[in-house]
Amino acid sequence: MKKISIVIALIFTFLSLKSLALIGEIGINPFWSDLVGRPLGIGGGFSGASDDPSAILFNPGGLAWAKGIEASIKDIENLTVIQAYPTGFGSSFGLAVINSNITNIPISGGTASSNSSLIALSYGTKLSFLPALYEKNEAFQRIGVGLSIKALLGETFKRTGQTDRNASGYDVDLGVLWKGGPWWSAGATLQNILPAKMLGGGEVVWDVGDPEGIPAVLRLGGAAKVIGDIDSPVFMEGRELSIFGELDVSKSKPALARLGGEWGFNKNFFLRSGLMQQWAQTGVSTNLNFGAGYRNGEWGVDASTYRDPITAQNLFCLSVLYFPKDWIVIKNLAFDKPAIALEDALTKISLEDNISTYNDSIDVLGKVKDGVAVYINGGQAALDEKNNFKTAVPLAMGKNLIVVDARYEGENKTWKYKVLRRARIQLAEDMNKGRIISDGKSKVEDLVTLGVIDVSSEAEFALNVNITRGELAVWIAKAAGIELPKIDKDVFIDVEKTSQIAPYVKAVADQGLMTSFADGTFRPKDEVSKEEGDKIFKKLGYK
Amino acid sequence: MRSKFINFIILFFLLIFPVFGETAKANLTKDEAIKLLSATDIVKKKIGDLFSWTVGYDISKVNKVGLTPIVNYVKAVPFRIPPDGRTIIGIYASVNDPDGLANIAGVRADLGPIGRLPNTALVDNGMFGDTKAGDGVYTLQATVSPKTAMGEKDIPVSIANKKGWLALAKASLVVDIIPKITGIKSEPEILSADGTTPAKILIWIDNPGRESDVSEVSVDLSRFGLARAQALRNYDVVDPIWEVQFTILPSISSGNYSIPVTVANAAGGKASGKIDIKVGR
Repeated sequence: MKKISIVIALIFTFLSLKSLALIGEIGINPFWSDLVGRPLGIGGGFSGASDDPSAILFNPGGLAWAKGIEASIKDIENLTVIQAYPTGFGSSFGLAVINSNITNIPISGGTASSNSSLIALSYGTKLSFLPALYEKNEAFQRIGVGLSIKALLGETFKRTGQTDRNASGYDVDLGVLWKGGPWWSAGATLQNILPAKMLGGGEVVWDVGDPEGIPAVLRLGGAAKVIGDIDSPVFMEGRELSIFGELDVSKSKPALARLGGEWGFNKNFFLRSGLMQQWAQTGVSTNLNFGAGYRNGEWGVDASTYRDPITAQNLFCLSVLYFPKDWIVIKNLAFDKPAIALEDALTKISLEDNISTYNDSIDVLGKVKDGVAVYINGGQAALDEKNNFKTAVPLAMGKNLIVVDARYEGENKTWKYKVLRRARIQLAEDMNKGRIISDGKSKVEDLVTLGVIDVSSEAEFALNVNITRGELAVWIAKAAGIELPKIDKDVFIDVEKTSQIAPYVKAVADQGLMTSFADGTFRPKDEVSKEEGDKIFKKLGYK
Repeated sequence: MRSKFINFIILFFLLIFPVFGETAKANLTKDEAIKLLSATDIVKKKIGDLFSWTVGYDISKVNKVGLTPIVNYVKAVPFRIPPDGRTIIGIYASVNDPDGLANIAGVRADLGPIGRLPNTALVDNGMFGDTKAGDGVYTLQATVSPKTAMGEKDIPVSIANKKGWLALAKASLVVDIIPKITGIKSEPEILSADGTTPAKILIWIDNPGRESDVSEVSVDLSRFGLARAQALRNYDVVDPIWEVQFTILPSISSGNYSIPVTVANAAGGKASGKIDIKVGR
């Protein structure tokens, strides 16, 4: 930790900063852009997630997993177009073009305006170029590093009563993103790291006057999908909640905190909100942003509201995204990368969702692409020479969730299948040919499946025999889901504490569902009369 | 006639009353109890939830009970082996299965790291180096290709069972030709320079592969006015110990002497060490 602090301190000390009009007085940094729908919706703290093309602006390390095109617009003069283009080797090239026009900026003695065009060329990759690390340890397979070179092609700055000024310059961002687990990630981005004049960059060079240093910023962020799929801390079918946080540290400016959340429905609809701090002329502005998003296969739309810190206006940003499936520079893998393409890792599987069965296990057969390992409910499936697998998955009585997980070089993709195992029972009456059995068998199966009635699959269950008070006490306690009391003494004279039914008898007696007799007995072996049964079931809610 | 009528009435009541009595005391059958129970709100809701595909399927419904084979240990013997293409290395995997040893479908090793076939079967049939059939210890014998680079190697071993589950393990070994001198000592600790008391230098060696491939263990006794001596393997003890016996001439002064020891093996590996010997009177 001490070493990290020293490195950060050295980086900021190394960078020279000269404050001039644009950045120092007005607060506009043409090398800093948040104008992308989804990140704005969550308050701008996106450096710890960076799982889409906007990684170019927030953390180029995330480019290792990103692909697609994103166009964001505030108005016709404020446009951001981003493209992430995978190479097929666990890396992507990125290109961003940002056109920004800010007008009517209140300054002393009038107004100012800034019109800039920025272009960023990026490259993000996994650590596959370090095979000694990458192949030995799976943790290194989940790290992406990236670099963005940002060039200010033109900046025109106008102030009331003064001559227009033009500027250009370039700087560099470095980023690292660590996908620590299937549900969380963390990232760090060093933006504008070039010291002034180094390699001719690191500053905004004006046509009139001195150049202006570009403030370096360290963005530390994290993202966690706390509610979501089976590999999230809280599993919720069709719902997900992701939280994002970021701390922006600069030597010349106060630190910024950004915190946001995204609530997803059925992987299609998303609602977002976030607290966004920004640098303004007067210090730090804090605003609440809102956003919404829609994803459908290869397309997506994001919309956000935010507040411009320079003009203090509430603004609206709209982004359109396109994630082309077969878009890759060199297709050297059996299946497309990155994670989006892991959808294809499982080429065949015998399971369908929502299976109902009487069997105590289910065969899961399938086939995967080369190099993919298959885990089913946490156990690895054996593959044959042609990458086929066939496993027998045991089923518990009732609801079962079968999770099939395809893993490849630190990436994984899971599929879930719901299976209901029903109890199969053998009725004694089944053997009595010619006798019509009512729907009682189906009801018995339901209650056995629920665990209310305990019948082994081998035993015959007789319906047309009288039920005893002890049996009924057990059924009712289980059906009502009554918490069983601890038994440390005899429950009744004829229900000793060692009796298996003692907790059930006490439970129903305590609840008043069944009562004892005046002589202090419960008579668990007595048969229940119909009259008595009617009373008991009425207490249980039978109408 | 009247008496017949009275008898009929008595008989009627005798027959009918018990029927009524039984009806009054009729008991609940399990079939009826199940129908009543199933009709209660609480059970109706539970059954509704049971058959719902959108309720109750969470992480707790993932059944992770023992599916995969159990690996007790996987090891390579010897741990260090020369890449000579002839020294036998044994890969041993002690395995079991939740459904018993009979459910093990096969154990395979990827010998690629030592320059051999990538998918080679281990056996538990009492042959090919396996000591006992059916004991759950699977065995594979191989050699290390002469083209194999020196260093640590991991041999991936996979154990599959008949239900299609897989367990993975690794047997680690070191490809090396350099013998190691793991210990040297003199007996007695202080040697007498009287020309008669026998002195011994004992040398322990860890040789990659077989100890029989140690080609030379020599001790330079020139400091004692003697020639270089070959140490011999002492087969009277289990540990691989090499010994050299000599006497120290009376002309040798008391004091400490550093005696060089060198070891060479058939693979061309060499090692050297030394022992500090104290000479007294």
